[in-house]
Amino acid sequence: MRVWLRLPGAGLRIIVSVLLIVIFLMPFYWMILTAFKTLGEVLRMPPKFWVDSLQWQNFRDAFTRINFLHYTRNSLIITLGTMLGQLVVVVPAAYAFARYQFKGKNALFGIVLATMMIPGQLIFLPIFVMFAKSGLLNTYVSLIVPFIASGTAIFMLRQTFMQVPDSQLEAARLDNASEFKIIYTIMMPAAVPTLSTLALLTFIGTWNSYFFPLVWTTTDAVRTLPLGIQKLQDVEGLSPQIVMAGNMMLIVPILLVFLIARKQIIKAFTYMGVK
Amino acid sequence: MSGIVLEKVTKKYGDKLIIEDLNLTIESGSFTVLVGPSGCGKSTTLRMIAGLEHSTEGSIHIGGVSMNQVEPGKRNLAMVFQNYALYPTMTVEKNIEYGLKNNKVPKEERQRLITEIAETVGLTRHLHKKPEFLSGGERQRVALARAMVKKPAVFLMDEPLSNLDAKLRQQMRAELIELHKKLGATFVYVTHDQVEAMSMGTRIVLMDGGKVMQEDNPHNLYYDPANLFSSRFIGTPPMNILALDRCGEEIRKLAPQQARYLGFRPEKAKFTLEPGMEPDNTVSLTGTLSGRELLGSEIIYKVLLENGLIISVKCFDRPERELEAVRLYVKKEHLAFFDAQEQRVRVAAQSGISTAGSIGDSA
Repeated sequence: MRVWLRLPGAGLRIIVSVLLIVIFLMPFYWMILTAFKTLGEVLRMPPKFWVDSLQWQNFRDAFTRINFLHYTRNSLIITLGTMLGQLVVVVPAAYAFARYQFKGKNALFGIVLATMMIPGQLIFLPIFVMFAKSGLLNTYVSLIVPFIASGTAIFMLRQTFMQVPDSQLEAARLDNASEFKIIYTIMMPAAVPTLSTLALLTFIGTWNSYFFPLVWTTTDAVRTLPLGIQKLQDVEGLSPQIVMAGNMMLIVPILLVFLIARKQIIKAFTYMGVK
Repeated sequence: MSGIVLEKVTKKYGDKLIIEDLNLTIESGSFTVLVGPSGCGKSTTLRMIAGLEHSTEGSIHIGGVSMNQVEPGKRNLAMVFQNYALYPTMTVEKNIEYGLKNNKVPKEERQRLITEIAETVGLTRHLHKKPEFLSGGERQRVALARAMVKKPAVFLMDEPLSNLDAKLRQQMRAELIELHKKLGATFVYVTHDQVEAMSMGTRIVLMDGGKVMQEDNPHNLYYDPANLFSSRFIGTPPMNILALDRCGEEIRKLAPQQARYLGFRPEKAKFTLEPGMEPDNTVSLTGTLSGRELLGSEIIYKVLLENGLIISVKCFDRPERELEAVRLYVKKEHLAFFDAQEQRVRVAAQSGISTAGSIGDSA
């Protein structure tokens, strides 16, 4: 246990570690701290690094000042919809790229990889125009579909699928398994770490997404929680403590999911590293 | 019932010819071993029977039915892979159950079959373990159980024992022979190991370069090789082959006209005229012992002949001989001749290289 503590240079290592932890945790601490302050405490100079009494009503205010449930529902629908859509599109695509030989395979895969290299900010406008023309503005579809065919996910899953030995697939074929069954019973169980990592990345990415829901919508109908929190700043003037309370509520689901999937994610990254 | 017939089968990968015009009949209920050096096409042949590879030309029939359009899973066969190919995310039980489930066998029936097969191969204790927690031998048994539980008419095995240690391999060899007797199914077994082939097969198909070199039972393959390749591939050490033009007058007189090579098994060369050997039914060679290898019951000598060729002699005499000049005797009936195309040339009135002196006799 703690072998590295006894190694030469351990002292320096501890100092660097602590420094890094402080740098990373400071903004979080400041958010949490602010969420529990009164407006007076927030504005005080020099700032205070502790609060004497916790202002729980900040959370209630954040919840009531905007239609919190409406935004949360939108966020949930769009996030889960994107994850589900990815599952349907990415898994078969990755399987085909990993296991089938077909004409134009390399060219198609090149296109998939290219999508990873084009920043969305570069093409959001034509897509917006396209949605506007086809009457898809302010619908869930417009915020889900563009993110379903994720190049990153296809690429990562293809790498994982390629590591499954041929003989396992052949054994399954001899066991009279259909292609769908092979994907479902052989490939996906072998890719659980990668799948959970991808699910988490998609979850965080979609849940936190701010830019696209902002520029691809014109009304509040399908806007998501991050946009709702942003709105807290505009309602009833300056109140950073309430914005921070809203932010805390925004990140709770992400923390929960990460805690649940942590083991799988570490596995996925070490697996990819070792191979 | 479940005989396999390959007709004019050719397999190419791009321009590379792997198997050329292969005609092969595997009898129903036989234990047929496909053996040959790596790259001879034996695994490809097996995989074509399984349906995992498509033949470029030709047709494959199992039980009289053309298999060209039949999916691997519908051919009523099971395969055991070299690396076992167990499903790592499933328990032993699920591994065995997988094929049954896909074949829509009812649940109670599946349960009964699994229990039965687990007992047969001794896996009952391990049913709920994942393959990674099993030893090599146990994994091998799971692979076998997975194949057996489907009760297929044909078992295909692709070097299934080569990942086991020597002792376990010997044990599994005996168990596979037992299994074949018990099930009465057709076994097609691929190996590069001639000992496995000789000890297990009722029928051996010796392949090289995508062609069948000889197809026969183990006894004939050893005692009556059809060509130089067979004579050299089977037997440890392999048959001694001498170019006739470097042999003495006494031997050349015996050879048929078109013969170019002479061969005899290492254990057929004797240091003395043994009972039954007369000067007029033997030939003699002179040389010097140049090496000696002790293999427990037998000793293998390297002999440098006067004509500069080196041959092996296997004998069971004690004590070991000093490395000195010797004279060797070989009965004429033990000599085999081969022509310039490396095919066997038979001397009139000679059927085999003395099948009379059968396996046990050499001791």
